[in-house]
Amino acid sequence: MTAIVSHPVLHVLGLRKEFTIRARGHAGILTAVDGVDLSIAPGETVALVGESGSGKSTVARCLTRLIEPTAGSVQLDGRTLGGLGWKDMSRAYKDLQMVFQDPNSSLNPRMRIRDIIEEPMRLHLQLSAAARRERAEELIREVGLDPMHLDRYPRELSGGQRQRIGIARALAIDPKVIILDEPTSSLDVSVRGQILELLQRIQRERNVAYLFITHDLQVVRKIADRVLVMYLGLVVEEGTTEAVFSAPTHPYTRALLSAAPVAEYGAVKERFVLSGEIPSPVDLPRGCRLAGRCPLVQPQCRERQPPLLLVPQPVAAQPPATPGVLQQHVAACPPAIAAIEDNPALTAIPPTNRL
Amino acid sequence: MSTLQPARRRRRSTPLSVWLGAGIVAVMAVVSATTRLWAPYDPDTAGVGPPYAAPSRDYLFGTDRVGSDVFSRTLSAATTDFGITLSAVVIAFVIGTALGALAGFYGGILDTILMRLMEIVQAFPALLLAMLMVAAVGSGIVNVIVVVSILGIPNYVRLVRAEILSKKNWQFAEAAKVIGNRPSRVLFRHLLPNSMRPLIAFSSINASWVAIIVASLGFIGLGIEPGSAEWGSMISRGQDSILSGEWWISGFPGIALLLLSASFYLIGDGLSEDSPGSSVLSARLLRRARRGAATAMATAAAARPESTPAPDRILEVIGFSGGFAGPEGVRPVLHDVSFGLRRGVMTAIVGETGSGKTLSALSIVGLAPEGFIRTGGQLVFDGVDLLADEPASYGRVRGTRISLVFQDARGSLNPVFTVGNQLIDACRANRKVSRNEARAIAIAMLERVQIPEPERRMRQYPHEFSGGMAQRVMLALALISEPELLVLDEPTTGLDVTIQADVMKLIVDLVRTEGLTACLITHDLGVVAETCQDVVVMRDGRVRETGSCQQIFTNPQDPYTAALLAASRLVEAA
Ligand SMILES: Nc1ncnc2c1ncn2[C@@H]1O[C@H](COP(=O)(O)OP(=O)(O)OP(=O)(O)O)[C@@H](O)[C@H]1O
Ligand code: SF4
Ligand SMILES: [Mg+2]
Repeated sequence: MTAIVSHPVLHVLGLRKEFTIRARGHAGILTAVDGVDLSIAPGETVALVGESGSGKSTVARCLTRLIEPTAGSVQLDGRTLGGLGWKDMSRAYKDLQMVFQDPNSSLNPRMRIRDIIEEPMRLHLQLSAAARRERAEELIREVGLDPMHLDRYPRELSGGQRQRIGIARALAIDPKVIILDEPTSSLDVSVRGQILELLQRIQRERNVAYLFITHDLQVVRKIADRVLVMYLGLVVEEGTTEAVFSAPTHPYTRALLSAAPVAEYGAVKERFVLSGEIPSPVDLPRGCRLAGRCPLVQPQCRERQPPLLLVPQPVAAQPPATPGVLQQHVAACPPAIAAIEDNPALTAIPPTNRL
Repeated sequence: MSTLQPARRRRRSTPLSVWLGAGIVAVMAVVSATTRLWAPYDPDTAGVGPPYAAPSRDYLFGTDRVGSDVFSRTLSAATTDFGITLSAVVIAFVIGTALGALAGFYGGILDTILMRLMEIVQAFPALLLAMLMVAAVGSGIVNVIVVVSILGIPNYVRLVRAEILSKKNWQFAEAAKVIGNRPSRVLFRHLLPNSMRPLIAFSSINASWVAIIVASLGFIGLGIEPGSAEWGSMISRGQDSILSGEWWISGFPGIALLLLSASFYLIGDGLSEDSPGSSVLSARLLRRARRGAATAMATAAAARPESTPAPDRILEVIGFSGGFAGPEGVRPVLHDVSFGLRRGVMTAIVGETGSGKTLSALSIVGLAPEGFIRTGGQLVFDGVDLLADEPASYGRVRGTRISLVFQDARGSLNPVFTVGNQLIDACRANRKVSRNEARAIAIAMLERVQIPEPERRMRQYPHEFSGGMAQRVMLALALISEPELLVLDEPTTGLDVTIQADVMKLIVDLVRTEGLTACLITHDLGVVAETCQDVVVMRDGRVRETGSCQQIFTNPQDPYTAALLAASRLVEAA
């Protein structure tokens, strides 16, 4: 496990995003992200998983200010990013970069690869043209391509090669955090592994932190130190990858894990299947958002939002307490936790403990 | 740059009409810039010849009432008309593009005000407005240019605004922002250059229209100073003489005007057809490729031995090949694809993006995309070669004996009809039942695909369904005609993971209980391992391996299959 230092490079508290939507006449409020806390240590990989519509991309877009969050605070390397104009924000981008999902559309089709990679340098670094050129060549080698690709246009590269360019562009100004929004989901399985390995190598060499957004649990398992599971705008479970995968606690996490089929003949898994529909994010139930689909549902689940509670651990598996960063395994499902250990003395983690 | 060459060449060819139009416009541009060199007489001097002289060697286009040379005047007018048209188009283009870009990019109050203004301008017929405005500000070249540009601006604003709006959230625009570009740079460096093509096409069409408006203003005497050489006013002044037989005075300027306007139109029309993103080649190229394919197919058919399909197979794909038209004939995409579907069995077609899975599946149901050209092969369904008398043969089986479920359910349901109506129509198209009976069948079908409250759901529109529910509706739609073969193209790919498991389970249950034959196209080997009995592995448009699920997973023969398995396990084991 990666060592976690006490000062997070990215620290998010109470992030919230509401969209006003107009459907057939009347307006409604869609709460896409409903108070998300999250912190990432330098060099750490935190995965944000959840299905489409759970709000993971909205989190990414709020953090990069592609959209304005409704509420919440974001600290990047100790600096608060609240209410920045584009000038300050542009400076913040020096430390916060993003790799997009679709390599086919995230590169400007009218720009040469060289210009695409050099553009962030032009904006943030005072480098001579020759130095930029040299750096572009270093970068393209670093992502495993040949410098001859620099003079091509995006359409002349394959999907996997384009995603490498997207990564090189994000690396060009040596950011401290890179947000990756489903960076491998539009790539072939065989290419996917290569890109993940590239990302891991880069992280080792540069100590850059990743916020890795994905719905692919296999990818999470391969790359993440910590996992946050989102459902309908809320984090429902959080913990080290090991803890979440070995002891998934929230019923939604369990369903998510057991939904992934195994490419093995005759390996029919026992499934934890949720039936029923995902409630509309415009009209959310009062209590637990999974209550309508949950096999463990209790009457009190429908009354109020279950808080994130510590998942009881066998004493030996308890992670060493590292001051500053939350490493505990928590889940927002009292019945499941009660079932793990028939221990009614469950305590909610006070928000102050969460960094 | 040498590496660029192949890509440039791969781009579709520009239609001939564009070149024709551009040629004429270029000639006119040169002529109008150098009138003095060509005009035999001073265009503004009266009495260079006798009045009303018919076209002759001395006076090519004849002379008018005051004995001016019509040829010289027509040439000189070209400078005026061409100049006004060009200036007006350039002004409208620049101002309209800038305003439209700002409105589309920043939105908000600026957008609202601008769009209202544009609506007001466009509410009046253009010519009428032009007349009123020129009458108000007075005639003269500058005034005409200003008025005509103002009339053109709204079109540019709308066009650019729409382009920018549609591209604003493209990832490259967002990426440009995230690397720290200031908003205006995102707009002008990244978004606008990618929106230019339709604009260029439109400005040609706009030029064609401007030339006519300018001449019309001249015709009714509102254009530039009366008496100066301008096609519109020349036509106007000559119109009385037409009756007395002196057609040339109006005729030649008229032809010139038409030529200019039509040439611009040709350019614009050709360019807009040749829009970006579509890889559809010109019809000529397509025809040529088709012809080539037909000959190749005849030869291949003669060489191929008669094959007898195995009786337990409901569908047999034999040596199916095809591709898309390219500059050098057919660019092959499917190569000699052969596989069979056993009755009552679920067969998977697996492969990565671009391996030709979808194309093979769509060909089975006769829905290969526009531009796909078959170069050989047979599709034998229940003993009948479906390709023998296409498309009639498909009409008999598609939708009745073969059904298809697409990946994007909501996109393939018709958004303007209720789900109930679509189900009832599909039912009645294939079975002889009354509307009420069809309704009952539809409700039962929705129940079968586990949609709660089917009666209420019947009255709803596709957009009111979640992704998983829409895919169930799609499934109901496919099953309502009681098909024997169900083709499923990545039926759960667009869905949420926990919903995917649910829908996949439903599909498997339905296929088993109904005894259907199913063909599942997927890239997910996990799904295949759990649901299918037979597997076809494809890559680069070729079948790499076919076999039973057990054999493929435990003892793959083809190195590619092994690699695919290893890749999916690597990720799993990690
Ligand atoms: N309309 C078209 N014009 C030109 N080429 C096309 C067209 N449609 C498909 N192709 C090409 O045909 C090949 C096979 O496409 P197809 O969509 O069948 O692959 P696939 O394996 O189903 O991919 P995916 O997993 O992305 O659905 C690809 O190389 C693709 O580029
Ligand atoms: S809180 Fe209740 S409804 Fe929510 S997941 Fe837990 S058991 Fe299910
Ligand atoms: Mg496909």
